[in-house]
Amino acid sequence: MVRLSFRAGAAPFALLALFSPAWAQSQPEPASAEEVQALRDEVRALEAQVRSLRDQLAALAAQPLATAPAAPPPGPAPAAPTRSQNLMNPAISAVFQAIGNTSLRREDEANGFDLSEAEIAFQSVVDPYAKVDLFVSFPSGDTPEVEEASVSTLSLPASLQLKGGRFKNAFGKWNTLHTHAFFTVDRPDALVNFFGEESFTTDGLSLSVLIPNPWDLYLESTTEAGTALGGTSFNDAHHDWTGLQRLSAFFNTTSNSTVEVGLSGAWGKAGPSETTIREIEEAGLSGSLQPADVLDSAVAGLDVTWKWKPLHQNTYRSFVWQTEMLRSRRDVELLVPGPALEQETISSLGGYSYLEWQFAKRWRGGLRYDWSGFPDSETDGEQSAVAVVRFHPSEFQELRFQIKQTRRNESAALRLSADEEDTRIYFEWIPVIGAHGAHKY
Amino acid sequence: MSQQLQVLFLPFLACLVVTGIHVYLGIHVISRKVIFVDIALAQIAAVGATVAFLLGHDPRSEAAYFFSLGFAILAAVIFALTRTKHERVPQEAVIGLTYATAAAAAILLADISPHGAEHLHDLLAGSIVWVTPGQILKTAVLYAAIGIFHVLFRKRFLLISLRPEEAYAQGINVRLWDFLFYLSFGVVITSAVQIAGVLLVFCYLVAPAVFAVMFFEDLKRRLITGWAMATVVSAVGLFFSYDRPSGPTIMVCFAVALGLGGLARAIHRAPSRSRALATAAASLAVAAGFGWSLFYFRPAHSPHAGDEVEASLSLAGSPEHSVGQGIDELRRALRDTHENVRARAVTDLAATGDHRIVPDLVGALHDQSAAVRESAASALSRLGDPSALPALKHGLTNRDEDEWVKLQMAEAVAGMGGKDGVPVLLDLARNADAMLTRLQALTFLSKILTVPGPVPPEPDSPEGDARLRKIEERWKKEGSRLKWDAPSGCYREEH
Amino acid sequence: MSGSRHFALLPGLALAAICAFPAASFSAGGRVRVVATLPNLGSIASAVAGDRIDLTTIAVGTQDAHFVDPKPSYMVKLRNADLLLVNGLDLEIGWVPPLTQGARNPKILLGAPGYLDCSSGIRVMEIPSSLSRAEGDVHPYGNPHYLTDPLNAEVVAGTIAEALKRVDPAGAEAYEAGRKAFVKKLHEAVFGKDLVDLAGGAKLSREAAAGTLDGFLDGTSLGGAPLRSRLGGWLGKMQAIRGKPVISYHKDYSYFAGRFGIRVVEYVEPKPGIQPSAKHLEDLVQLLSRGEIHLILTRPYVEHRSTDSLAEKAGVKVITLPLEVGGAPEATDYFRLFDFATDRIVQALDGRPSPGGR
Repeated sequence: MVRLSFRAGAAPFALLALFSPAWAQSQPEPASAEEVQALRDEVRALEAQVRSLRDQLAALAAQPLATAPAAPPPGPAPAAPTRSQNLMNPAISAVFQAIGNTSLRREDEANGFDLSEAEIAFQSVVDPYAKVDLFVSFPSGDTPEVEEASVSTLSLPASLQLKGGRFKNAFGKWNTLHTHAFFTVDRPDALVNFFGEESFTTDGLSLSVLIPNPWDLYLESTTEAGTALGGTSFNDAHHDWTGLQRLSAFFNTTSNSTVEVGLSGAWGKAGPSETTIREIEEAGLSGSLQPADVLDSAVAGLDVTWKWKPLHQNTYRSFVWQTEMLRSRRDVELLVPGPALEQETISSLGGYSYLEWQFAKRWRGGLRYDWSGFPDSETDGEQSAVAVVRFHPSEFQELRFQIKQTRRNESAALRLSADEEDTRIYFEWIPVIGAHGAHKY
Repeated sequence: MSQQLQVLFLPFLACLVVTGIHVYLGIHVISRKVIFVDIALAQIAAVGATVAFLLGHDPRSEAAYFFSLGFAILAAVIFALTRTKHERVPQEAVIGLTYATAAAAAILLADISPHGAEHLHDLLAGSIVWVTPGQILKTAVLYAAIGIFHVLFRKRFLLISLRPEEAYAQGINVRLWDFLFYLSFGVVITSAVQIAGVLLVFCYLVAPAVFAVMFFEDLKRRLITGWAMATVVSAVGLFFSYDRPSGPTIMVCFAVALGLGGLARAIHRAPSRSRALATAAASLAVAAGFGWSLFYFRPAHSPHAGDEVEASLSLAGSPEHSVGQGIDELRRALRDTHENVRARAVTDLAATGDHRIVPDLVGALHDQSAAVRESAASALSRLGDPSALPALKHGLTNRDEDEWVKLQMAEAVAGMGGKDGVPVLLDLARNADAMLTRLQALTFLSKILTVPGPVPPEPDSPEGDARLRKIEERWKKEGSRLKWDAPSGCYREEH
Repeated sequence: MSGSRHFALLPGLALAAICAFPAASFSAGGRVRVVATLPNLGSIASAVAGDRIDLTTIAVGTQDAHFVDPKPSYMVKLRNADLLLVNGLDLEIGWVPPLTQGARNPKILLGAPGYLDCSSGIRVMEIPSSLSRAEGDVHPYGNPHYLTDPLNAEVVAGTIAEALKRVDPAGAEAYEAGRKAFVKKLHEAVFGKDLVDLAGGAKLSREAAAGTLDGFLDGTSLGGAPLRSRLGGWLGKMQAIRGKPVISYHKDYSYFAGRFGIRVVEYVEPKPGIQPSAKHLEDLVQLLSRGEIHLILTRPYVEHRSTDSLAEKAGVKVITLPLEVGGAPEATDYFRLFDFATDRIVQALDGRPSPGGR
């Protein structure tokens, strides 16, 4: 009984449900004619707006700065200005170096980590005739100094280039590098011992010429003259002239590898050598014996660089082997029984050999072997072995991790007040900001 | 077909693995009469995965799994704690609230990340089709372990599920065993949600169990029925889901199976089978009719009032009330450095139909860009304003002009009665490089000199050549006598 | 010893004095010495000027144009050049300045008449609104790979022809004829000879540059059929795969994609110049597994491990296409470069069997 009435009751609802969609969808739309007209107008106006906005957007998205078309229009086509380098502003960049080093012997005072140097570079082409390079470095805890400031010509005839001002001498390959462009954290011992803590720098003139030859080889001759800034080999107090001559040749041995060979020679005057001063002091004759303060000094060098970079994929693999050998010939005054000072010509040798292998796009590993005498001594000597890993998170940042082991003979250790055997660990971080110009090859 | 089967084989295996333990747990859950707990736990596991996703973990990573598990365990604790002896607040309410909160939280969290909506969708619908053999193996091992745990303590679990009063009476720590139950539940569900998604997990827990409970009383028969039904329906559901999201498809199949099962049971149990069958048939008919009416009475076009408006717009033609402000803006656009903007401005200015802009178009005739000049010439041709004639005639004198631009200019000139246009058109019809240009010139000449007959589509064909020669001769003989007759748009003899 | 060192400098000065004599011209008499930084520019210059120039190209087609080493031997090539063709938009900013500044040739310094920036007149895409290295190695003046759109070669040919006319006025007619011939051949290659005969290359090129080519082809009909049915050449070939999404290694396909209608939706490099990380590769696998993208485009000078791994995990094809002439043995000139590229892309996306290999 109940069931029946339930069904009877449910039936009308079922029918209602059945036809409700039909009913809902057949209702007329309640829009008035005015509303429609207003909507029409609005849509029209919006359409025009959208069209003009779309065109403006397209125009903004692809804006050339020069509008001269190259297809022949009725009328002459004006020359389009170049856009690539803004001639007005110099390329300004800053390179920061933070170097930390520690010796395995913890008591060493030289341990530490500091923002060791910030170098700011201004490089610009002045006009079609000259360009200017200015490098100022701000070593931590020291006054800023001008590392290089030079004007170079760009359009002398006969493949000449003249540079004037302060510049790093073109001796070998490593001397002209700025610290952030080094392969390793430190400079090779030989360069430090022969030229001083800073690189061999001159205030003067440099003339370089590309020698024409029938084989179209890159043959360059560089002649430089001026006054050297301090250092060890050319540090006479009167700042006499120092000259340098370099010849280099560059060979494309295969499409993937190049060899560069260079011969350098520098001549100048040096003051009293360290050995002389030390011997005089030890003998207690500081007041009575005056060493000569202008003595001949010359350094010659041979450098060979072999670079291998596969033409395609050159960002992923490369190989460098660079070797420089230096020979110094210098007049040194030595203490002889008398007591007197006797001049002697002392020759010493030094050099380094560096091998680097790039095994991934951002990773390089290198090994360097240094051997070095000292220009004013025939007996002192030291050798070092260096292993370095370099990581470039991007083109503008570098991290270097280096281990260096040095062995010195007794006299060298005494002279440097250092240990006979020393192991140091270095860590360096180099970020570059700004439009840093491209480095030479 | 076989490719279809190949692709579906792994998901089917996954379904089997999931079925195994879910049917068992589902039967427990139904006996406890807390159905909602499984979807709540599944949703909470999903919230855990969403949090992991927001923190940057990949949704399929280990980290996301542990996040889900963590959240699920937390939920298990809450559920265990809130099951009171005297049930003042029904536990179902607590669980329902937890589910709603978790769902809301998931939506809010997903809103933060730009890919959140996709991720949510993935979590709900699951991606059983993309399951890897590794995932299946891991899940199978985990489930086996939990299965063993439950088999070992089955008596205890059954007691607290089916006869909780006895359990309390026996002094068993019901809370602890509840917690262990929910904990194992949570682990099972977390793994399942990763492969199958929230909806499907709920479905596997409840649907086969409901089906089984409908027909049988004892656990063993229920388990077997549940497993059998789940297997069959999974297979059918996967088969139909080849082109559709698999999770929801399988779920709908479960619903249909349940419906059919329910119907069958009702008919079977009804005192009068025939009447029951009739009722069933009537209900199905009503349902079918409902669906049919939805379909039949749908509107012919998309149900938007704006449709009418759109249709009328295309008939309306150029808008008359483009304000003076619009023209000024277009004039500015004519001086833009970008040639596309200028060309567009020319077209838009011409479309206003306002003759004040003719001087601007005339200026555009001298533009550097051929595209702009072409637009300007064709616009002036359409507008037919004679004040543009001098500039157009001057433009014709440029020998190096692009032939399309020349064509437009010549048509404009000739179409306004400037006879200088005709020799240019004749020259284009004979010597232009592009065939379309020659054809267009020939067609226009035929029109303005009323040459009868259709213009052949190949201007270089013998008919086309003949037509052109006829026109050239006619112009040579009668050209000076012909006068432009504006109303008819052609050149006629003077009377 | 004291005086001798002064004499040691003499040989160097003497050499300089010797070189002060007017340097003998070492290249074949009478021809304009043109140096192109990149092979595409060289190919276009060669087509325009033919025998009137003595052409040298610095980079090779298989090299990455961003990272060419500025070897001193290139300076020698530049020393005697009359005209230097540069792609511009800072593509070669890493290696051309040291070469021009060390080449001791005032004619080819930046700003001098012999330094030709071939990007003048090009509609540049992707000019960044804000510049920061946080976005990777961004090109500040816009995307420099404009020669991947063959219609830009029309503009470049004009620029080169004008420059040659300035440097060598006697050859003005020959350069103009060369330019016209190159542009005609270009139009026929892009649109197909049939359509060029019908509508004229200049008109088609204008419409394409304005973005209205589709409207023109669909709206104009001839003999009952729309002009589009007569479209041939590279555009006709690529019609079949218009709108299909692809992934590219570096952001150097933008102009190509804009012209030929494929869509580059993602890059293997997460930002320009930045190596793909494991997470980014995983994201790409996820994207590829959605099944809409079937092709990865890469270059001969980038690493293959990432693209190989993507191809394996996601089952998509990878093809290596040259950016410059000479980047593949088949790409012997600018036209063959696009023949090759369009063939490979259409084969890869259309499902027809490819002639084998990458």
